[in-house]
Amino acid sequence: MFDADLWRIPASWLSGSGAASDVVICTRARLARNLVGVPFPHHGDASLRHQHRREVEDRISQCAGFRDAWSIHLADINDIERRALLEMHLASLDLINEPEGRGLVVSRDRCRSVMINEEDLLRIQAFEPGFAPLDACQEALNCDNELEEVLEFAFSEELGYLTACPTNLGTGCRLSALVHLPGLVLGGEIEKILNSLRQLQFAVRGLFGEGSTVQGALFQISNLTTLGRTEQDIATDFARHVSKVVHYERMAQARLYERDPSSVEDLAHRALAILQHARIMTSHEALERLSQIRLGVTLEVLPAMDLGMLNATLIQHQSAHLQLRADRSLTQIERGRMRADALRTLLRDI
Amino acid sequence: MKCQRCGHHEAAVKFIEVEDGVKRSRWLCEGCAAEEGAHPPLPAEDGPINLQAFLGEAPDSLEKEEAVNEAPCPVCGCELDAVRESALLGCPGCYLHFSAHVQPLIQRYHRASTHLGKAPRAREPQAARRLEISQMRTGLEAAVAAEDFEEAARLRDQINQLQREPDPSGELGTEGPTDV
Repeated sequence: MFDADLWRIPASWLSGSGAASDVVICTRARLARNLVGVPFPHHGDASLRHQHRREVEDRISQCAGFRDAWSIHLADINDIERRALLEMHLASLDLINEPEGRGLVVSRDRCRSVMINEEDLLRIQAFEPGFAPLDACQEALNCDNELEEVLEFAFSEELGYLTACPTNLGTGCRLSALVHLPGLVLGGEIEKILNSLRQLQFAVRGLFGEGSTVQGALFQISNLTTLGRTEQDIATDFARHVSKVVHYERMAQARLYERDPSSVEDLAHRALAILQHARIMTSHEALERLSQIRLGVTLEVLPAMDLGMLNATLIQHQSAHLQLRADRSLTQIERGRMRADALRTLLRDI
Repeated sequence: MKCQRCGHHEAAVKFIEVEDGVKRSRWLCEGCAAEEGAHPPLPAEDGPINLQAFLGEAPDSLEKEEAVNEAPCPVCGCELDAVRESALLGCPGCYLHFSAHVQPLIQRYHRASTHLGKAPRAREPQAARRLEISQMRTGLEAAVAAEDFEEAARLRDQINQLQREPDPSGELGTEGPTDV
């Protein structure tokens, strides 16, 4: 069943530690893998997906890195629980939207997970706090090495790991950094940076990845190409370009404060006051206010706050998490009240 | 690798033609590929290419190919129309069966056509050699650019030596000798 340990306490990769944690919340590496002689998930029917999910789950359970892991069949949990997995970044939108025959295995520390029957049969994920693309990549490869002992992955000498979509071919390696860029957004420079990233073959999406809108100046940056470079080269290239984004964001924040300190102070203090007193709070407004508070903390115009607490708050005050906490389905207005209550309590003593 | 048409520029596109039922593939630079009728690569500002649009395009050079492999994939039964519609292949075997359609897309999207990086343990020796040759080629290009012909000749000999060594997969050593 859906274990409270999975969602009640935030995962360690939201701890606010690690390199560049003022700008980068976490880094994820994802490897796409399929099996020899097995059709890609979209090509089979639900009964075939069920069979493959059970077989893959069984093999994963033999790996030391997944000892006592959670194994979840997405169709066996309810919609709120599925949404919570999306909010935690453990499951993708595709995985939760068509749950029949789709699976998710999550290690006890929640730093490794495998989505089963997403676009590819396996999507291996490793998470790290802060900005650590090389570490995340290495961890995903370690996980891949373990799984390779019990599963035969489809591989060609020329094309590398074979994936359902040719855009993931080769290494199957996609790195993502969840970044907070309020300085570039407020300074009006964000479009320039995003266009540059797109020209360099990076995708930029919202907080919850593909199909999500940008809120709270939170962006997910990922590499687009996966063939013709080693995983280490992909990670090094990703580190080089995203480091520049981190640098530009820090510069933008400093410039913003230098030009108009009272507006920045007003923005941050106003956001804190609203969250300390509001009685109804939408998830969208909560993300915007928390983003402004995070900016105030990094610029030291607000009292010091634990970045890990702020990171976890971004996730734990999303709609599905609130409903898990209430242990029932809530209307929009009920969620708004509950979110406002929880945030007031959390920020009362700041 | 140099363009197999002009011999001057770096090859960037694998160009496949079928004449009288005989398949011929050549590596061409972008200029020669365009002159031969291939679609030019998208400009960078267009961002990632639209896979569905690309797979639905069927340029002239590929249409000739369709007579050869428009049949469904013998492994999974996936049809080319379904691949074009969803931009997803049906099974790992589709890559070989639909290679004439998928190879240009791969080259155009990734700007590469050969895997470098991790391989399953059983395939590691070949993958390591492929990576070594790729790194030497990069060094060779740099040496030529710097007019360090002694170093370039040394690297060329090493590459040729590695390519001559027998390979169980038969995929390496099939290219011609490297020139400086």
